[in-house]
Amino acid sequence: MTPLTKRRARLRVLVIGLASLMIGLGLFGDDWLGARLSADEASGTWTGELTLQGNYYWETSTRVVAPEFGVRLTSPEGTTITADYLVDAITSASIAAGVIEDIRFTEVRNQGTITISRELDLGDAQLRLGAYGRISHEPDYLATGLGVNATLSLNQRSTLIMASIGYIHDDVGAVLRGMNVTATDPGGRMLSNRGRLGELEGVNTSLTVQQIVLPNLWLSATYDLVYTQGFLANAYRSVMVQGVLSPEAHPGERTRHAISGRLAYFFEPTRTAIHLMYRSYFDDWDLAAVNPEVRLYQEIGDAVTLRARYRFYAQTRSFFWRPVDMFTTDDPFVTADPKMAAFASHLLGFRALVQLDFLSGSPLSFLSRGYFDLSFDYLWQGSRFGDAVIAQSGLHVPF
Amino acid sequence: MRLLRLTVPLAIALAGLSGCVTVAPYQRGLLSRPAMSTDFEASESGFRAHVHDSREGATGGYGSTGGGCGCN
Repeated sequence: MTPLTKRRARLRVLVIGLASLMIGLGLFGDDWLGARLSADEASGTWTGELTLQGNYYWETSTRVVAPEFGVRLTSPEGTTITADYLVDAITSASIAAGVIEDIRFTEVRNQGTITISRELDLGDAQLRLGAYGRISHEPDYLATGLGVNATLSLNQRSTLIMASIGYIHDDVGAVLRGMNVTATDPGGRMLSNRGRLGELEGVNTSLTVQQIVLPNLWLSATYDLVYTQGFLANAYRSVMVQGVLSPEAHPGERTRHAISGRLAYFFEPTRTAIHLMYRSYFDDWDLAAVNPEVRLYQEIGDAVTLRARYRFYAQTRSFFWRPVDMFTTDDPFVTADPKMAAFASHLLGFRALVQLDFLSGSPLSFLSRGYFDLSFDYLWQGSRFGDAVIAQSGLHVPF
Repeated sequence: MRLLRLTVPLAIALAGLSGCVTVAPYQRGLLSRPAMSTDFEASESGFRAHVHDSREGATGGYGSTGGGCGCN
């Protein structure tokens, strides 16, 4: 067993062990380190929320329609469980990733996510411990993820400190026009042996501090670290190397850093809020990016909140990116990935959120504590992907 | 190192704020409104993060998602 394999195995055991501990605490931990439960057990009722979400993405070569269903349940003892199921119907998914030959097809991705968390009252502070698991399956890709998180609330919940660590494992394959690609790994597991090309593993960690500063002002800062290794190229893309079509080859490791911040301020006289957001990113592929965003919110009456947002994104190129036809056989890495080139994009979007109190007393009164939202964004992408539209709608019903 | 130069002052500033600012729960009515609470945007953020992750070289900051060859 190599040192790298040992390290990965230890990390996997650590994350799985932590997740098991969190789940155990959530389900059975009535008393932990002398902590008192914060939930009100007197009512003895479960509460929760149902969410129905529709997601739509359109660009020149790709259409994605993704209905989503979610449920959140909180037990009388204070354990919160969420489950989310999403179906992606993706048309022409891999041509859009930058392949040279136009192969048009539709595939379906199924994704399920489960989280569990429980808050422990530590006296002057509260500690919420949680765990999550996620699986995403499509004919040529199987992605799994597992992680744990903790949130410490201080100063009567004016200060939140959140930390998380997660492990991901993906099986990467390729299925072309119903033909079988020779598998390099005969142990191809459930992805089907016909097209498994490799695997990808990674660890992501995150630390967030959120602070309420005034009754109408809060801010937060986040640092994310993501390490991935394995098959990091796209299985479908090919690159012209001195007249010969070659498979894309990316470095086998990548370490990514992102720091972001958000400031939210509510101006009561006009019932307007502004959110200022900024993200700075860099990684060891020499790719760096900046990403400011501003969101303006306006309340209309008691039920409607409108939102307008503008998002700017700009990145540098990775160290191995070259213009088309400029790769040589001496290049250890070759890419046709539009995401590896320098480009900028602009997003302008609008959203309306309607609280459904007005349904109270009507036959639809069971919806009256919920809300409905509808959004539309237009994305001007400077990359080869071209311009795009994102549309979403959601219905949220607490019970 | 570039990141550390950015992170450390920010973390110190936030830690300083966290030690001295308490806004009582009864003062937070404005913060629970849809215009100020991120709870009302949580359900849209997963799909958006997946879109941006699969179309941009950067990731993280506002949540990111695994799954799907589009991310590679």
